[in-house]
Amino acid sequence: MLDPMGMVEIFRTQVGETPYSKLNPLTKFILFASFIALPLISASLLMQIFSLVAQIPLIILSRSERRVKRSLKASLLFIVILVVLNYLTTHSLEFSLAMVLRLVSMIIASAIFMTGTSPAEIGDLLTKLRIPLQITFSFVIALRFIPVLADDVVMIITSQVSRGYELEKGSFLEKVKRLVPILIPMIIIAIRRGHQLAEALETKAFGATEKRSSYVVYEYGRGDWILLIYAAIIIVVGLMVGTLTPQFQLLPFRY
Amino acid sequence: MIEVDGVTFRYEGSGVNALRDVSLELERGKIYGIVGPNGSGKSTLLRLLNGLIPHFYRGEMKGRVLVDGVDTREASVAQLSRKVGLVFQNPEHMFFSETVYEEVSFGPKSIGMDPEEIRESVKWALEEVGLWELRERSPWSLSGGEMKRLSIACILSMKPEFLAVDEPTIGQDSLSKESLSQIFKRMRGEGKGVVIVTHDLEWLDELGPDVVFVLRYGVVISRGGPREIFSDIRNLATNGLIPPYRYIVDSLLEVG
Repeated sequence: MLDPMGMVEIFRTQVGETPYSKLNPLTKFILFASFIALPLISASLLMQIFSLVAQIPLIILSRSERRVKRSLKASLLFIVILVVLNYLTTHSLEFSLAMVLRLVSMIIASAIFMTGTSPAEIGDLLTKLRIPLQITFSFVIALRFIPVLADDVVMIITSQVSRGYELEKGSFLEKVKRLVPILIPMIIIAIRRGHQLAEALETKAFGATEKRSSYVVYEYGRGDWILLIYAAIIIVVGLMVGTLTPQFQLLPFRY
Repeated sequence: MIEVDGVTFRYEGSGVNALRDVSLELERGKIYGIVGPNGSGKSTLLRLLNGLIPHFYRGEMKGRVLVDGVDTREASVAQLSRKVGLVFQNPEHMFFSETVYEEVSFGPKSIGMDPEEIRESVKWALEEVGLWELRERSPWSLSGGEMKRLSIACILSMKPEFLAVDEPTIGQDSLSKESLSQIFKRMRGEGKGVVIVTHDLEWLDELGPDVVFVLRYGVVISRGGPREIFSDIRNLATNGLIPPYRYIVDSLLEVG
């Protein structure tokens, strides 16, 4: 049920040629932000269902059905825990379901964004938003290295399993202890990679000038405008749905 | 004996089969070479032998793999590690102990060997790869060649019947390659089966394998003795493999 590698998949950028990937990064970011904000407008179940349904066109445009499915499958354990905890504290099944759908909506929004946006595009986008290069670059590198480290972890686990090591043996505490032969090589490899990266950046004169130049020009096409209007309509409709439906009392168990 | 019987495997999330209807038999006391271009399914084939596929890597598998008559689906990777030891391409992925000695004893401890047997097998494995003198050193302080030999010792110490090695010569200098050849030849002499995946045909030719398999697009396109396979220069070249030098010379002389 627990599939950490599947959860890492959410952050694995994998840009193929899809109508979504060809959009301007800013459009993709606005769509992403809209679909993260939409389920937060109200806690009603109707609102969460609306957020989910509104994302269907984007899933189709980004051809990310497979990734969405895998991300959701990987998060299944957390989804179940969330439903149970919410139900135990609020005694409202509807509220619990709404909270889970809110999480699912956000997972789908992230999966779509990561499927169709390369780390370089995210970097350019953050630079355009006037975020300092040091922060932008660290963020992009972190994003870029998640799949690399995930691949390392797979190789480390398979290496140790091939040495007769059983990860799943014993109680919960024992299982945590049994992670040591996985964690130590992972940390050492991550530090080594960091060091190599720093050297590579030095050799490529990173930070030699105050202002880096760029040759990539992002244009706005017809698709961008259509989807920006779509995002605006979704938010407006979302606000209306939020005000029309009866609100839950947030955390009603406190009253 | 290891029998790979009509295996087709597709990784989860992939649209293509990594292996397609592969059948082969591997016996003790022989060295097998598996060659082929990148993405031809060589590493996938190795992962089949010790049960990492289908236990660890998810996907769709048809056919079966029998290790001494036991279906790999019915035994855990830990159980299979006593029969088939898999040495990975990058040794750094396995090291976590403070000393070379402790690192080599990890496998035997995992499979529950007796303390006396552990001491014996660690000493034997380290002597086989020529690292007994360095047993108190940290694995991370070793050179690339020594690390490779240590990774082999880590697997040998579990006394597997078969040794499956993924790309042993990558990043190794000629002296290291020579010492790897010596280790594998000794293993063969001791009656173990050695399966080697490599791009380095020159080295493989010097090692003298008993059988060579050529893989392409997940299919075994040819199999036979080294002379038969290596002298088919056209076949190797079209598969992105550089034939051993002496076979190129022979072929040029024939043309000349």
